[in-house]
Amino acid sequence: MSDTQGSLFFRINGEMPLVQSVGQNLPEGWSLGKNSSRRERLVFYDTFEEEAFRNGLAVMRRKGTLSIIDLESGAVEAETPLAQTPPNFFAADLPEGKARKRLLQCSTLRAFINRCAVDRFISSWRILNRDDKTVATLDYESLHPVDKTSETVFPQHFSITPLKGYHKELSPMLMALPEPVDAYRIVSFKERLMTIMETAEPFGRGYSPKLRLQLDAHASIHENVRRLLQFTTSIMEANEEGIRKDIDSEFLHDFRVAIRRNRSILRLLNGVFDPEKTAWALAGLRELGKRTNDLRDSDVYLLRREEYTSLLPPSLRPALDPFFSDLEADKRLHHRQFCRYLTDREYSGFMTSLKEFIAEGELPDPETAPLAAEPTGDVAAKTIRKALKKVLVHGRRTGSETSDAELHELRIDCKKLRYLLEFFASLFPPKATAQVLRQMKTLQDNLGTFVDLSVQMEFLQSRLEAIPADRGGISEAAAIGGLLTTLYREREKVREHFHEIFSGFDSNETGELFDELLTGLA
Amino acid sequence: MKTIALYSIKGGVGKTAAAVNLSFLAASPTTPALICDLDPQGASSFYFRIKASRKYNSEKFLKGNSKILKNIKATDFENLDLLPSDLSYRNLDIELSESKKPKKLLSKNLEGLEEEYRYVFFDCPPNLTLLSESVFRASDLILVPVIPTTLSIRTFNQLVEFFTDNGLDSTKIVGFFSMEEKRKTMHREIAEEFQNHPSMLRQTIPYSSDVEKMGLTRAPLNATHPKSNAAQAYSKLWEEVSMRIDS
Repeated sequence: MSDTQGSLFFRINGEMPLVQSVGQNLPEGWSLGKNSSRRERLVFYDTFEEEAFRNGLAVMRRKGTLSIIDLESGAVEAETPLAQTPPNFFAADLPEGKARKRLLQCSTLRAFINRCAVDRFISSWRILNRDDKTVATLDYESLHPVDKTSETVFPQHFSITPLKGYHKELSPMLMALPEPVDAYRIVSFKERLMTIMETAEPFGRGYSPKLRLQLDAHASIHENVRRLLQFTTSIMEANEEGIRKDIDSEFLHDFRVAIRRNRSILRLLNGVFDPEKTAWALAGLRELGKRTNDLRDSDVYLLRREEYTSLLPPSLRPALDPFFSDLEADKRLHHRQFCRYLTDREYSGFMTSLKEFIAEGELPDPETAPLAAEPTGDVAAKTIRKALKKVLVHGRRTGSETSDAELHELRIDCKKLRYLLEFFASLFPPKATAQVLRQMKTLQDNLGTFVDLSVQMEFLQSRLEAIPADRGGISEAAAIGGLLTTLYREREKVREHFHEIFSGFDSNETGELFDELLTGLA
Repeated sequence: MKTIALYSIKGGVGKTAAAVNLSFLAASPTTPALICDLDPQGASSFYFRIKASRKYNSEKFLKGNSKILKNIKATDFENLDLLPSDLSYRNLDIELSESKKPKKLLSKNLEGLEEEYRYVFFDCPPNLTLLSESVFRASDLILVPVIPTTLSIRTFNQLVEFFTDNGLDSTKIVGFFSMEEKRKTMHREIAEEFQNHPSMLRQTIPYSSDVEKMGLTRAPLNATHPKSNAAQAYSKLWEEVSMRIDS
């Protein structure tokens, strides 16, 4: 692609012009030099959420080299050797250097996946001036899908690359282009890459787990909740392949968040559906969520490997190896189990019924589902106020000792409030929503860290109790003990801050922000 | 970056031919090379079919750095660029004498090239002037083509003396026999006599019509006729030069 900086690309609209017409219009005395042709394979990588692209970069493998290319200029920012064409890799797997650093900035958690592979055929000519001096190269580029059975047709381009020192003599060079090429429209690198991606349609293209529903405040809540459920269910399905292929841990993470969001909305907005049906869906989702717990645990602790190791003095670090190798074995087992479930009829049956339930557009009986026909705005205001009240009541009730259970419960209350805010976001002025979410963030971070540390401690405690006496059990116990001490200290610090942070949230300002948000809705 | 000047007080001894062929041999993806045509006659620019931009002149050359970088042009050969000469270069000496530190000017002006090139070749005009002195100071190696005749040897020795008298490092001067005609006794004898001289390279460049024809093909001999005797001699000469300069 943009291997040579300074190349100007021109799209061919329609059929490739006859080779004879290339260079026909050159000024007198100018000519085209010998034609050569070459072939190369280009493989484009990006994460499932296209984080490289969103950071203004393209990641491309060509001739054993992985290049990080700036989308706007088309210039290569960094390069690193990549001998094979792996189906996916993590930025951290690359050799130390600028390329690794750049990709780590895009994503540390997500794998870079082979998004699209094309074979690129190039025919080259030299553009010669009156002195028979080469002043530019003229390339005709056609791309073909690597998969020969594919019928994808990519747009074709001509490109002109002036040699160093000859950029000012562009106008005679442009005459080398055959007629049906629009010499006045230069196609940028970004544009070419986007066309390739649009044409190739790699798996999960345009994926984003972020909720961006445009709701109508006057439409029935039943209609809008169904749209939300449709979205979250599609997120679940979009992540199945990534989970099965074990590309990275975020596929399962997004899958679980979608389940939680579904459950949360169904529970918070009871009265929108027939309770019998809601109970069935909730039970199914809960069961599905549970089946992912073990695998998620293994993922989470494996991701902490570096962090845990760094918390310990060097002498204790190797003692964690058995802990992590057991986790790896557990992960393999849990992955196998969950994948089996994903292909099981029980799962596909549940998903089909769930989608049928969501697709059911007819309003349920008002006797069993009294909220269904209510305007969305009314319900939004009511449920958000209720959820906020719950957070405030529970928060204020939290004693000076701030017990684990209290904080744990409050965290769930906050999460529910947040899911509601996100779901109804499009009904509010965007600025106000952002402000409210920011106001909540400090509190959510505090609670999140607290619960997170508690869960980790519980997990490590259970490991401690199960450490076998042989196999260097003593040093592993010491290492786990070391981790527990550190995590405990950190957690208590977080606990200490809770009251201060909560009173920051439980303020007139928050009340006013929520009022501003909800006024006008109901 | 290593700088190599192709220099001789005498004209017609094969300076430009050597500069063109050696720079072509030196250029590779890991060792990009630049040839600076300092001769107002512009022979190496001609060999590479390159003309300076209309706005380029000796004044810009003396301003250095960015002005120089802007006027560098790619040759038809990968990794080899050229800074073309202009007829206005005939005034370089007068202009140099007006600058503050004429003898150090060239080294200073070429600072910006460090990042882009591994080797820089100067194709010098045949005279001994302020510009030559500036080149001597800026170069890591002064490569002097010597026709194997007594007069040429005398000129070579005069150059070494000039270096010593002017506090220049004479160990930078390295000669090689050029346009050698084996059938001439004097050529043979002189080449033999100086074979082991520390300032002379072993490899000689034979007199060849192929080299003369470079004026018609307008390309390095090593690009058009790499198998010819003269081209092979240049290859071996480059091996020797690069060993000296990189050691």
